[in-house]
Amino acid sequence: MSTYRGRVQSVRGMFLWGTLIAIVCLAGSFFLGRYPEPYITPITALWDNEMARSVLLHLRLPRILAAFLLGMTLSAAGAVFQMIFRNPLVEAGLLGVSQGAAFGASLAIVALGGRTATIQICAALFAFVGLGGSAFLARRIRLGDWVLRLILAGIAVSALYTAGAGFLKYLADPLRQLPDITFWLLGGLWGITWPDIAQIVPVVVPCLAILHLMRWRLNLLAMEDETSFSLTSSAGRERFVMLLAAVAATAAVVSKAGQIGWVGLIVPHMARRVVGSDAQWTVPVSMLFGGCFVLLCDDLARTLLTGEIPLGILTSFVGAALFLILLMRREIKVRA
Amino acid sequence: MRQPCRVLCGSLVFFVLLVWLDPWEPLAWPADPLPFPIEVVDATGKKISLSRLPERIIVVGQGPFMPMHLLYLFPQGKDRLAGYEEKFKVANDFLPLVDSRFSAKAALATNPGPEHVAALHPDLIIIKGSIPSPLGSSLSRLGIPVVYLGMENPDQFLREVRQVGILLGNRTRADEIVQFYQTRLDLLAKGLSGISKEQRPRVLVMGYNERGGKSAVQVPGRSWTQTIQTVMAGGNPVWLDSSQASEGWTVINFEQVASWDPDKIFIIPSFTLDRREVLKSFKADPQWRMLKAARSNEMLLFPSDIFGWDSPEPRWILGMMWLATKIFPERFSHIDMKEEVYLFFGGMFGMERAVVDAAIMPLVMLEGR
Amino acid sequence: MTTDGYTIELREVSFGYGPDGPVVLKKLSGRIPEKAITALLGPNGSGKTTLLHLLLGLLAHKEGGILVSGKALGDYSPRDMKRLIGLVPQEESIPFDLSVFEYVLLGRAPHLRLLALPKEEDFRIALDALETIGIAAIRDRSLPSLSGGERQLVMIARVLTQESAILLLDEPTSHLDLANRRRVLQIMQLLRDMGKTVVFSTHDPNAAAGIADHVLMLRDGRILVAAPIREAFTTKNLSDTYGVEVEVIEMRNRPMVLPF
Repeated sequence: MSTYRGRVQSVRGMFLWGTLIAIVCLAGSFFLGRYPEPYITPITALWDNEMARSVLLHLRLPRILAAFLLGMTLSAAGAVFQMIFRNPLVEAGLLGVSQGAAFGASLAIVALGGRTATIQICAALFAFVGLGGSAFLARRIRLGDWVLRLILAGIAVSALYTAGAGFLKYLADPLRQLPDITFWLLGGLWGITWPDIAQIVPVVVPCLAILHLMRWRLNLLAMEDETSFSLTSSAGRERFVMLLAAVAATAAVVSKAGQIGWVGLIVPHMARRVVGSDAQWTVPVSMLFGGCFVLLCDDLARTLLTGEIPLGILTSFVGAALFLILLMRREIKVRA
Repeated sequence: MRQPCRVLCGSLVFFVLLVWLDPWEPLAWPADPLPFPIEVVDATGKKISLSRLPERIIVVGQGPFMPMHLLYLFPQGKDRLAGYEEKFKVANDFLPLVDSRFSAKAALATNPGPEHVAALHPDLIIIKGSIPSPLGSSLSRLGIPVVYLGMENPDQFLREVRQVGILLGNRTRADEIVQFYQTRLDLLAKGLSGISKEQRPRVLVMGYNERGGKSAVQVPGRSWTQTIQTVMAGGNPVWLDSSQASEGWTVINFEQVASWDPDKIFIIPSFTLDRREVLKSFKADPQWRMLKAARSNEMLLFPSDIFGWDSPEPRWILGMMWLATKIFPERFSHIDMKEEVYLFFGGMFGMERAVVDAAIMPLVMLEGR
Repeated sequence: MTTDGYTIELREVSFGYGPDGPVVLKKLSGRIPEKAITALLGPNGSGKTTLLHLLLGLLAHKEGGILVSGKALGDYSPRDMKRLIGLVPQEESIPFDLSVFEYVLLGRAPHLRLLALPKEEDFRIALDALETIGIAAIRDRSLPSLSGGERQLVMIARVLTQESAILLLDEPTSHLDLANRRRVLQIMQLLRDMGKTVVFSTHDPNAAAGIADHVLMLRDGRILVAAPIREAFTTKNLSDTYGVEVEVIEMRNRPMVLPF
């Protein structure tokens, strides 16, 4: 609706629905697990025995928060990348961010001892180097507009990192290190504890806040350069700030969770199908969808079977299926 | 009659000389008459025929220490081994104790190409695995015979001991080795006769590396050595209870462990970690502490010396016996693990007690804590 | 925003890409009067778009000066410049299906602080702009579904929402059919009547002939003619500009160009 009153109503509606959905997902996930019985945990467990309480509060709670934050971050970052690069098929992998993280993790596993802290630091570090490298390289390329240059640079950096990671896998000892690397590459949240949350939150929350606050400006930044220049004097700086926030948050969560693909690509599309392409809606709705999506996938990962299913596999599988369904049902187009 | 006296004295001297000579020195005990042709069916199902006994054996591929240790169970092993692929320095810490001239063997860098290997003029390649590897295929195309040893579980191990016996022309020794293992397996089977599944304690054997923190650990595959060791030692492996996603190490989160709440827990820490610290941290962890096994002091470290006792290399028998003494102490109180260690390293590798005392014993935590 | 005295003056403006690049615009001098329609004419490659970008401030001139109501362009704060000058580019391709209204609303950006969202006032202005142009009916359609003519009108609605005094349009009628061309030209007249300073580039002299008050003719980066339309539209001027023989006739009180 294009009247202001209509908009205000829609905003309120969205906010209420969004909060409701998030609460239901989070609460529901809290009672899913494998202790004391597979699948559903009765609420009495909270005061029944100490072990159950410990499991719920020290194991499950940080993990579902981490899953939700992971989903929010990857989706918001995906939406931002897609609009800034004016390409609906873009995600973090394009700028060398996830490949950088993968390379850093492999390096830590193969050459630096493979301790958890080392892996995380290296992953975050190289993710940033990936972005920096792409930006630096983009300045040197003399071909086309800045979008093309940055994408080309990103592809080059990603390729370098992928080759590096491949080489490290080759060097890795198949008995000990290779399974570690493979599992890291598939992604998983099974090691998350409260200290991890304490490390992620100070980075992710401010970055997501920035992306949320600047969501309307994102529309401007998605325009052609002439147009965005005519409307805002700081288009370049605004783009930089949003990219930086998106990458920083992504690096932080990826360093803890490993590589989780598809979320940044698919969720913004799903959001667009429901609320249209105005970034003012797409960004927050992507965050909400993404958070719930990864949360539900992680619930499956830790509850469905005795052993953990790598999260990356589930997000790809479920995400692709959902996407196909959504693509084929053209009628779903609820405009805000 | 002087003649029989002289024969007797001569025989006595001969006999004494024989006792003086250590049968493990290179100038050794003759092997049985060479069987021609030498034929084995290896782990890939392929039949390999050799026209003469191999003199230069090279071990490459994954986990080279396993076939190498198997070779060293035979006296000819150390002579015939010409080179090996160097994967991880740890491989070199044990065999020099057994073979003083181990450093003379050619060490290939990790992931050698077929040319590197061929340059050492091998006449037999041994690779651990049950499917052909690219390196193995390239080498067989060069005309060098390649034998794959699966070494995935105790049964296969014993079969392959016999195969290596054929390859080295020493089936007598192979029989001895199999006998050594079989005696012990029979001992365990006898001790466990008549027990039902319910009587078996619920056991969890778990691998630990830092990646999951204390929130998640790994359990071995269904048909892996650790699983078989547990079963044959009298335990009921909890991780077999339900569906298994893969055959490799499977990540299990703590919730599931708490749900199982096993009677006994055995920890296999990653070899890069300090084992004592790992056990301490598990005992101190507020969640693991609450488990039944921790409270009754049944959370132990799976023993190892330079190499672990939980992989399909020769030491698995020690792992199995040790597990039995911990899972069913009342039925296996007659096993003296310390003595078993001496018997194993002495009988299988020809190591003297002093050497074992110096290099092996300090590393083994027979108590598990 | 009031629009008094927004005359643009060019004084010996030169521009080249890069420090050693060729000089694309050479010593341009001329006047673009306020509250009028000025057409930039010239063959392809004569520097029309470049000049528009210079006026926008997207490119920085190397020599000379551009003054708007007596003040150098560089002296304006970026914020004021965005409120002052709006651009309708040649084409706007967006791979996302923003609705017309959402797109037009973007024109309010120069009037909003960095983190502010459009308010009721902004909505009203955007709706007014759509109504002025006469396309309020399509406000909820998505951009990719529009025809070329509709898209052009939507882009104009956007700069109208921007409430800028000076409107720059880059080849606004080039890809349009007859009906749409006329409509766009009529809209431009409407804008002028609202008091805006309209500058548009075109390679078709008849578009200029139809509505322009003032004309700047460029060739090879130089201004050949800068004059009111009646003075400027002579056979000689046009032939020199375009390098082909043309004839100018008078038709219904307006000049018309006939290529041979």
